[in-house]
Amino acid sequence: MKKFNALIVDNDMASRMRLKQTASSVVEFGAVTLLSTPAEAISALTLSTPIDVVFVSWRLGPDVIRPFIQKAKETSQGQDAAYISVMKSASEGNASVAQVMMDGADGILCEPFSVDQLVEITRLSTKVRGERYESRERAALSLLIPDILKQLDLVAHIKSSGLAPETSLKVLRELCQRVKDRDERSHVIYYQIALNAFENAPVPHFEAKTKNYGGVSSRVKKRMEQKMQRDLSGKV
Amino acid sequence: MKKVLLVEDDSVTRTLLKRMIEGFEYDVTEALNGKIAWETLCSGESFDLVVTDIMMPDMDGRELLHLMRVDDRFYEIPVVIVSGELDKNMLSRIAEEYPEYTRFQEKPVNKAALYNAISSLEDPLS
Repeated sequence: MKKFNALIVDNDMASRMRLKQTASSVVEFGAVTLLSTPAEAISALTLSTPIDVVFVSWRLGPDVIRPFIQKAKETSQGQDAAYISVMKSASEGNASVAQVMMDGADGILCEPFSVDQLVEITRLSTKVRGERYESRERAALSLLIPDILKQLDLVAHIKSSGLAPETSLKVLRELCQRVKDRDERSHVIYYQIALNAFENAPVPHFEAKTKNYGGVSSRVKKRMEQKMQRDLSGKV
Repeated sequence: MKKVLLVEDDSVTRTLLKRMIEGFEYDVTEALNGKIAWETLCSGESFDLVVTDIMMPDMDGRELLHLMRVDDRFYEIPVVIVSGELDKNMLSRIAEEYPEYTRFQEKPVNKAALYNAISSLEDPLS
């Protein structure tokens, strides 16, 4: 089972400790990091440790929460993390809930909350997150794979016509490296798009039009001979 | 007016070469690297001459020249290769591989020398 790595951003120590203790008591959660300011959270989201969910406390205030979520979504780990707004109480009106969602939150957790509520809202929010990640990866790979196919055709063409490609092969390596560098979660999406692209790829059109280089053409050869004869007759 | 395909990744050099070649009364089409040049050639547009750099991203001048020389459609299009000091190894390989319809011009390009190279290609065996 994949565990959720979480960040808790709350300027109230007692409140963030409470959330951490609740989260740590269920198997669904992995590493839970406590932070007191949005700036600390942004720093944490730029590190290499994957973050699945960010809990943002209402205590930070709406003027802080909105820019924080926007900025956090631009970070390497934050772009696909789920954002859960921790609200004061379940009696918050619809307007407050709507505001939180407009601020960029994927889910809402109201204090006081139960373990089950915490797990459920985290599951739902990370599902939203997963869909966002998938659609972005799908779009990126849909652009990348046709480029790789075209480059593969080009390298094959250069090789088959007798030259060892250098720059073109280097470009192919770089394109493939971009696929290799993608997260493991993208592999399933990669296979789907790659298989589809290979199945629908047209046969390279240049093969039939090429020939192996066999030295000068007969026309040039004839003209060279004529020139040689002219030169020789001039000397005589 | 005769048509030239100018292949150069460096924008300053490309602009300078374009002005020079236009001064020889050629119509110049620009390509930023060998791959774009190859795609331009394959698109069906015809050219009387190709002037190309050697070291370029995506596809280098040697690969471009090779593709042209093994293809019936572009086999006889004359090519002037303009290159820097660092490309000499590649240049000597090209000179051996594709002597036909090919001239070399060192950077920085001298206008008169470029004109002579182009002129000699118009009738290389005269």
